[in-house]
Amino acid sequence: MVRSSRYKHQHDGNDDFFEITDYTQASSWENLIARLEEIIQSSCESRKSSFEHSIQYNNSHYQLVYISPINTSTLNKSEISKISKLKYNALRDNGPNVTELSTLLSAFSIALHNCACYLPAFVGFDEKRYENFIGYMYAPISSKSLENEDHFFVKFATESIILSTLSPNQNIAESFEKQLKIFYSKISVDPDDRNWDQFLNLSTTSTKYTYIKGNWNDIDWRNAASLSSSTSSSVDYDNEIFRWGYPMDPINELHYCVISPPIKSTHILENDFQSSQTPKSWFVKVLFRKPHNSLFQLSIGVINIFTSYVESIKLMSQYNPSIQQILTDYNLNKTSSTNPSSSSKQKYQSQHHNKTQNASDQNEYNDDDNQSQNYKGTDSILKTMGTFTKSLASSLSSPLIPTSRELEQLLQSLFTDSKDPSDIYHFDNIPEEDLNAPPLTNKSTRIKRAPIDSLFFSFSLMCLNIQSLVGVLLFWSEFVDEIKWHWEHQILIPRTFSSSHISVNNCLIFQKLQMINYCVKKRHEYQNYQETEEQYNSTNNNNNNEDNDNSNQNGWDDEDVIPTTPTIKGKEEGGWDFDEQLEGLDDQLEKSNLLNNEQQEEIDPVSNNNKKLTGQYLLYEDREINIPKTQDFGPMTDDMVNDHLNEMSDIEMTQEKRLELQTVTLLSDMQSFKYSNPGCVFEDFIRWHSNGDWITKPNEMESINIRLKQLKQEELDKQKIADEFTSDQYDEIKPIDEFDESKGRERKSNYGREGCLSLRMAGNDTIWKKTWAKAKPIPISKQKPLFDFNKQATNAISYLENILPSDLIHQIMSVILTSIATIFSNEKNKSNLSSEYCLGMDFQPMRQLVEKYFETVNQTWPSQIPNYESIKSKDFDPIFKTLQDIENSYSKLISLKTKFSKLNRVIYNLYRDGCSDILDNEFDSVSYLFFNEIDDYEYEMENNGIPTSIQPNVKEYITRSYSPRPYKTSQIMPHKMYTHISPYECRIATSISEEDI
Amino acid sequence: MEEEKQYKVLLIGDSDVGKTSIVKRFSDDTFDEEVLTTIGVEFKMKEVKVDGKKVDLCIWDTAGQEKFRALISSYYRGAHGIILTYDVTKRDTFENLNYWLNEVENFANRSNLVKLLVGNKIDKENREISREEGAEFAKKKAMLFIECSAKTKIGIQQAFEELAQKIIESPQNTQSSSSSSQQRQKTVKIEEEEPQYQGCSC
Repeated sequence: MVRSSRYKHQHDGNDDFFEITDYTQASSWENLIARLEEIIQSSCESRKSSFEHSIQYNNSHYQLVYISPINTSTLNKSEISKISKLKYNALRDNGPNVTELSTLLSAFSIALHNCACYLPAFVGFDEKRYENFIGYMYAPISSKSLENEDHFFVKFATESIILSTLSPNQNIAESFEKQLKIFYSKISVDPDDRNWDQFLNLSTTSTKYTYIKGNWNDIDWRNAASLSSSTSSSVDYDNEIFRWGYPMDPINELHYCVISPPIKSTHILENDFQSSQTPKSWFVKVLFRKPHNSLFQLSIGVINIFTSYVESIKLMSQYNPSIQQILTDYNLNKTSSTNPSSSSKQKYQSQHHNKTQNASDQNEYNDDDNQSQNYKGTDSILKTMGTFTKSLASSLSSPLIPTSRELEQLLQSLFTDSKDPSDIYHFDNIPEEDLNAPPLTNKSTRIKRAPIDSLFFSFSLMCLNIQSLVGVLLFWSEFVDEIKWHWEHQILIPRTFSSSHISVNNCLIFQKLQMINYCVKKRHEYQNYQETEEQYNSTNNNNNNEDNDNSNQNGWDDEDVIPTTPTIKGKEEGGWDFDEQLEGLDDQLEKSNLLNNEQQEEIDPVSNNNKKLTGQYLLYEDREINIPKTQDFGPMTDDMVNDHLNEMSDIEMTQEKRLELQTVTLLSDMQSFKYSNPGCVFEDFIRWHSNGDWITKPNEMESINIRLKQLKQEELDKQKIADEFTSDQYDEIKPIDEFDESKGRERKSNYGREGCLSLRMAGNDTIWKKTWAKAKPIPISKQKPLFDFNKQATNAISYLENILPSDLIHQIMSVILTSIATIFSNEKNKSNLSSEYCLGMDFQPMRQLVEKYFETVNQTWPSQIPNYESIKSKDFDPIFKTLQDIENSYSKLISLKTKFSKLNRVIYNLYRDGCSDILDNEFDSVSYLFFNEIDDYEYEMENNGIPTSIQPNVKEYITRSYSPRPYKTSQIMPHKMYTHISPYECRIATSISEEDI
Repeated sequence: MEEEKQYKVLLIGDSDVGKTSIVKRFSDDTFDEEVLTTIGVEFKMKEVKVDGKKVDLCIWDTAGQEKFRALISSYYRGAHGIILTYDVTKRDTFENLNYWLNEVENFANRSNLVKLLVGNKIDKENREISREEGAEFAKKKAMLFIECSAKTKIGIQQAFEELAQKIIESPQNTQSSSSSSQQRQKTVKIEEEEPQYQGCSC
């Protein structure tokens, strides 16, 4: 009793509180409760149809009646339904006032609660005092009683609209009338029988049934993704690249409601609910789960990484340790932890390599099978490592530091190609431009990223599952070991570009990985050259011993630059048989071309297979100009570009020095050109290399000629003057002036040979001509490489090894943040990316959310690592907030899509407003969603409506009327009263409003 | 003014359209018919006045030959302004602009990049591209447009000033240098105008 004595009841009457002042003695109110408890208990036990008790309280006598309209003896378990009534009777003339009734009701509530009785109690009313009806009572719910089969459907009196359920002592008119009278008493200023008829004419009542569906499958709700793609009907949940959104269905309950007749229509007092003639309006309501930070799995992961990020910056500011140092501090000696696994790892990788090479080999089939089992294993470990378990606080299950076995499995899934190389969605089959595309097409970003599905992208996303900085660093150091292994074994790093085009938009780590891949490729090419060349030389030696001399003569050796004149002289010595020899060489080459593969052409200077400048013939030879294979300058990563720009823009540097630095490539091109085009001259080179400087218009040629003659004259004049002073110096300059490569050959005509050098190229002492003079005919395989792949790869690996923790996490974080935008904005049918990276939806609110997120990231995320002192974690909250918004909304929408599949109108309404009406053509699919678990669903649905065997979870009666308020003379206003009955609760609420809906 | 500012400008366009001549005229006020064909890139610093403030332009003059493309692609990074140049007497240099725009798209990494289209050699008589055609193309591709002649000086100074003006006006450049600080910044203070510089600009 003491427990309940502190109970304060707040009713809707005039008095505020029923106060207990004396705590030492049981008050009369407490006595009343005790008495009520007794009655309730005995009535629950006996379940007699009707009995009466007399209670005294506050000098009034009340009679309590328990009524069960159905005879208890005939009650069978299948139709457990009861009307329970605790009826209060008061003296006719002197009924209790509202305050007293409230007190009584509160006593009832407590008594019912104390008895764990879940039967609702209604306080009956005096016929003349309907206004005394206090509409709110509820039965305390005890989970224990729910488990028992003692589950009651509570029926309100008015429910007897359905004739079949009408008990003998009820009649329709009376039920309705009672309800209406309650309403009338509530809204009328002066209850008067004369107004009653008028009130009745204006009143309407609608019935609303609600069917509730909840307890959704916690995994199935995400399957909407598969609905749009016709190919895969069942998307494997394990396929997900990261966990995002709610761990369970964000929809708590769906309500399927029917109102008959629709509120808008006029009401017929006695209507048949089941009749198809009565108009019905159907609608759906959705109740979403209350969002909470701990429910957004992706945000949790991102925040984890961010915490690591801040930690790493803090470490930087303290003592600037290397990754290795940190790992040692944590006793995670890298070598010792990997030793047991390293052997198996390498074995696995060579296996994997074999596999890719012999993909079509049937013998490997079994091996493949084993591997695919391996993937499955990986997925499961990812899952336990990852965030998804049944527990809500998903991150709790992520390890602080992954074990070596977990690491191994992470690495394995990273470096294994889970996709068929021929799959159009395989990373290697998607154009680089698509992969490098900005996350949102209409917005640029300065934040560096990594292509979706690339190796570093996957690495970053896996880090979402590792909860600590040390864990990430450990993972990274293992990762770098793998990269080193790839370089040492000359195997391309999977899912990483190998082209020379390094995108500025990618993060430095990705650029470095691409650089390593490019180096692997170059090393391959280089080795192929070496091999084919050896082959070529040996065939030549067998066939023709003289060839050796010949090739030496033509400058095949690798000696340092030979002065210009001797080379030319050497060629001159070759004289006429030079051509013949070359032709003979041609024949041999053609033979060897048949025998060898295409790479042969690299070695072959004048082969027919070479690309040609069509229609353009060498000035002094009868051959088309061959376009030589030239050396690549090689890609540059961001840091290299910065260094390079710094060097080049050094103001101190003279123009000559700058030129010198850059003529290396020009020299290389010239050498290749000379090698591919024996007998060529400078003009030929210009025709290919700088076409604009080859003037072919007759009038321009003429003016250049005139100008050149003028210049020559000036030169001569100067020379004359100079000669007068110093005559000996000019002897040395003269040979350069006589820059003649024709060697007595006659310049041929036609085939693009008509033309002359532009004025700026015509000068003899330009750097172009000087370089040309220096250039020897050397194939690119023998040239000093412009790009040192060994050095560059070593540099790149050393960068990866020595990266600072803060730099590493900064890049990981940048990749994650930008990738999220890409993934959530990519729409499946508009993207080249694999479907798991396309969560975007063609849905305006979603697009806005992603755009907002991306803007926030762009504004908030620094492009450089900030100082520890300047970091305010709060500044980053908007990022996480918008990310949570995305997760929340996407989860909701996906769940709706899963359930309503193609009913886009309904989905949109539910998403926006939480409810949606149902049109005729949508009715069937929605009903199926709610009632498909019923066995003979099809049969029952034939009745056009709802299956008769299903009881609605909630029944509601909406009574509307018009009445003047607050005074009799006031304007007549619409009013509504809701009577709401659910298994546990009965509420009546009135609303006074001007709205008529 | 405490803010230190320096802007990077890159000249691109086909070979022999006069990129180097334009830079020479602007920076040294000289003109040479036989200016050397650029190899790779050439670098010049020059001060211009914008709204009475002095701003330093780092001008990168590039080679137009396709063979140098790989070499110069890295110079696009961090550029605030790009001058696309064509020769009004050679239609193919105009038609190649699309190729250069594509290069800008691929290699330039600033979102608020300012592009200026320059038609050079208007002193010559055998014009093939009308002013209207150039202006229309510039408008279509959201570029500023100017015609000039490095030989006669017409439009040169104006081109660089207009470009500098636009660069300063674009929001991110004036607010903070945080995004650009990654690039090499030989910082030079923007000084209040000093009288001795008046009239010296060409």
